[in-house]
Amino acid sequence: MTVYFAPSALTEAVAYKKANPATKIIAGGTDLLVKFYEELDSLAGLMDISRLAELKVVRTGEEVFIGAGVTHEEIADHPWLQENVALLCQGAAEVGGPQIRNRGTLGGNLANASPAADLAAPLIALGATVELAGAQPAALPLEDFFTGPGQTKLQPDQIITGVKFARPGANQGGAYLKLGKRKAMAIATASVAVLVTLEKGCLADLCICLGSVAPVPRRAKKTEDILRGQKLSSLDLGPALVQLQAEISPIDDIRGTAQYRRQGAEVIFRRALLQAINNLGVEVNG
Amino acid sequence: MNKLPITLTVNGRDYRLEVEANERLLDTLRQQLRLTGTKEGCSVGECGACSVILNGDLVNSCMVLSAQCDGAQVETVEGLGTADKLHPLQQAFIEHNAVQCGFCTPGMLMAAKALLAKNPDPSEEDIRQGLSGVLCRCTGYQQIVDAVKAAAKEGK
Repeated sequence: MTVYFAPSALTEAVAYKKANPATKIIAGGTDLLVKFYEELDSLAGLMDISRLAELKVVRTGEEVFIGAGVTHEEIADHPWLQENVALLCQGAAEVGGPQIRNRGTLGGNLANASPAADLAAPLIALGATVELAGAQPAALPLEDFFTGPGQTKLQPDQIITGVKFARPGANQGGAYLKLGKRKAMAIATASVAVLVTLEKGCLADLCICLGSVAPVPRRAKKTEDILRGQKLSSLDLGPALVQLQAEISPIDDIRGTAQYRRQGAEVIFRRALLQAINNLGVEVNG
Repeated sequence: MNKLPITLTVNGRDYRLEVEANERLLDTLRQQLRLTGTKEGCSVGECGACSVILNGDLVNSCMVLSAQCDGAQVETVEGLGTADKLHPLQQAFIEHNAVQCGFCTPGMLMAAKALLAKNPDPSEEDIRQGLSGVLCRCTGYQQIVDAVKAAAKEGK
């Protein structure tokens, strides 16, 4: 028999999770009810956090906070986020179909820890930290949060409350691209988020995060190192693309073969990088 | 039993119900309220046959717990029109031969209704996006898109 509890405040939710660590947290339910659909009776406890107002907050400004309970549709449709962090809105718009985007939440996308999670790669490229409530509030870089497919550093008594990141500057541009079997409802076969910083005609800095090509959303740091500092007028992607292959470890599965993923990752990375630069009004070939 | 009392407004009618903690909205609609217009297809949010409108948003009712819906407004295909007076979308589906086997039709209609409520003048791409969460395995998508386009035109 499943015990159901719907807290009305975050403090209440934290206390309940501490007392009942085996309780599953449900918000949109778009992952949980799939995982358990043939064994709903096996769920010992469910804590519904979908009504917690604290988790539905979006704070804009130099420091951006998006609550864990904010839905994909709310992110995709948010005018300020579209203006300032389009790559994140692109990620949110790529999730499932309208029904999934209306229910699924940012917190759930991260807690489910799919290597294909459409919000993870853009948020990592943005340098986001994930905020956790528990006995002690904690925050850690999202990049370090995932430990394997479906695995995170989230402790049984902790709840994801949201993500925080700095608003990208005027000289920063981003893009998120996803390769899937079809436009709607596809789980990424490969995905990539890129955030670039341009200064004086140079690729002054960049952050690359790939999805679905490693056990976790994977930052390609050595590829970043190769590209960092390059002049846009003589951008040479060759060595970076070779390095990119060394930093991913795709597998064969129902959505694609490792070989297809390697080829696809290269194509979408190149496109995303050029798109991120073009989004700043700079024409570049590579 | 550990049943939870909830109130639900479905197609404008108020219900007081008792639901299991792990009962899906789909089951409450079909089994408790006998509103079997909403179909169960894949049960895992892939097919959209179970789409209903929950507090104004299109959702898959197989992925929502009824306990989460306490106090909610739900619209199902039964609320669209009556046998005597069809909803313009239903009429347009008939006129454009947008129904083959019919299993996806309730989901398609609800997806179209949710779309037109938010965007009364959709482009063809908007319509395809709006319907993208519902699968038609007869693959009669073009007729469905045409029907929604016609209903939108009529609604202007």
